[in-house]
Amino acid sequence: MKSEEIKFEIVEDLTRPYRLSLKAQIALYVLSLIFTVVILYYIPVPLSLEMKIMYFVAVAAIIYPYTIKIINALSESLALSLYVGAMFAIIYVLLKIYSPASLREVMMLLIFLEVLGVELLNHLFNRFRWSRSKWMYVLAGVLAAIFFVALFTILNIPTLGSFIALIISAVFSVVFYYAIIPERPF
Amino acid sequence: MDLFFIIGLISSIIVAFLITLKWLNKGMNPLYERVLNHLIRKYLDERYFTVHKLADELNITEDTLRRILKTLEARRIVAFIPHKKQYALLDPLVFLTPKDYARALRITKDDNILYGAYEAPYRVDILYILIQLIFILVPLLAFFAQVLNMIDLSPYLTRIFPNARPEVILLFFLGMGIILADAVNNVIKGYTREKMSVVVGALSGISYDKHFADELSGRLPRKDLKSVDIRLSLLQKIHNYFGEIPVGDIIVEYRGGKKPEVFRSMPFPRELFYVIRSIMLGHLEWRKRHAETISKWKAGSLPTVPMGRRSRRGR
Repeated sequence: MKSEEIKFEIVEDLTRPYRLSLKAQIALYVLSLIFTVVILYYIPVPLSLEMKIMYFVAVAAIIYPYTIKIINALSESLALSLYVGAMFAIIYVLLKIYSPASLREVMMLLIFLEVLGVELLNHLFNRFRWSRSKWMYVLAGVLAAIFFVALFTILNIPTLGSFIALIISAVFSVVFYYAIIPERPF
Repeated sequence: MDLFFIIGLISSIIVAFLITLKWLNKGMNPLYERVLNHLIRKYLDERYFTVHKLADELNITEDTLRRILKTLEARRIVAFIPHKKQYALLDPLVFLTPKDYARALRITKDDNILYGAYEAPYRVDILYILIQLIFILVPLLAFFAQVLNMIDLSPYLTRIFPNARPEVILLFFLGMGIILADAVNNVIKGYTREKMSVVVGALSGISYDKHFADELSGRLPRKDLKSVDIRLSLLQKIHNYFGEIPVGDIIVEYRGGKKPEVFRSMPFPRELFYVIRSIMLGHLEWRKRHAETISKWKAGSLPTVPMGRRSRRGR
C-alpha cells in the first residue's frame, strides 16, 4: 500500500468515531428519563412529589455523562446545570426530611454532601477533574480538612477513643484527598 | 409541595446553564492560543525550546510565558525535560506523564515520540467494575431498604453511633463508599501507569513495559513490524459507547516473533493503529495537519464539535 492511499481520519473529536450517533445518544437519554418517570410513578411506596422530583433530577444528572458523549459548550452547560439542579434538590430534600438533631448527624450529612458534591461534579464536568492547577490542589486540601474534622467528630465515640478516632480520620482524609485530586483519565 | 423548592430548582438550573454557557463561549485566552499555535508551527519536530528563546520569538515577557507553559504542562501539551533542561512540545497523541515522557525520550535516544499511553485492561475487567460498584451499591441498597422499611438496621447502627438516625448513618456510609471506590480507581490507574507504558517512536518503533517498574524493555523495531490490526471485544465496544476513553486491543505481528504482540485496551486504538501504520510506511506529515486541533482538544479549550454545523474538517 502506498502512503498516499492511507486516509488518516484523525478528526476534531477524537472520541466521536467510537461513540453512538448523536441522535442515538439523545434517544437513549430521553428513553432512560422516561423509564425513570415510569418507575417513580408506579413505585409502590408513598413518596412525596418533592422526593420524586429529587430522584428524577439526580438520575438525570448521573446518567447524562454515560449517554451524552458529545462535548460542546451547550452540552457542558447542560451538564453543569443538571449538577446544580441535582445538588439543590438533594440538599433541600435531605435537610427537610433529615434535619439534623445532633452534631454527629450534622457531620454525617456534611460528609455525604461533600463527597456527593465533589464526585458528581467530577462525573458531570470533566474539566474540573482533569485540570491540574494549584487552586485545585488547594481546594482539595481545604475539602480534606473539612472532611477530617467532620469524620473525627463522628468517630469520637467511647468505644473507639479519641486517639484511634484521630488516626482513622487522618487515614480516611488522605484517602479522600487522593480520591478527589485532579486525575487525567488516560 | 413547597413552592420554594420548585422555583429554586428551576431557577438554579437556568442560572447555572446561562452562566456556564457564557463562560465556555469566551473561548481560549488569545495569548495561550498564540503560544500554542507558535509551538505547533515551529516545534512539532524540532521539539526542544527554552523559555528565553520562546519569549524572544513571541515578544512576550519570560514571566508571562512561564505562567502559560505551566498551564500547558499541566494539560500535557508541553513537558519539561529534566536531563536537557528544556521544554518539549508533546506530540498530540502522547498521553504520558512528564516523567514517563522524559524516560521514553531517554530510552529511545531522543526519538520523535508519536504516541505514548498506558494499557488499560482494567477498564473492561468485570472484577474491577464490580469492586467499585460494591463499595457504592451495598450502602445504597441498605439505605433504600431501611427507608422503605424492608429491613431494620437501627439496632445495629445506633449502637455504633449513638445520637444518629439509621438513615443518616447509611448516607454517611454511602459517602465513604463513594470515596473508597474512587480511591481504588486511582490506585489501579496509578499501578497501570507504573507497569504498562507503550511508546511509538518515529525511528525506534514500538517500546513497551513488560513488567512492573520496567524501563521499556520490550522492543519492536520499526523494520521488524510486519502488520498491525485492531480488535474490539463486545465489552470494549460497550465501554466505548458509554465510558470515558475509548479503548481497544492492538495486535502487532513482527518478524522473528512466533506470536503477535497484543497491547490490551490501548486508549484511542484507531489512532495508535494509524501511527504504527505511518511509521511502517514512513509517512508522518498527517500529524502536522491535525496537531493544532488535537492539542487544543487536549487543552480542553476547544469545543470538539462546534455548536452550529458539525465540522467535516479532517475527514
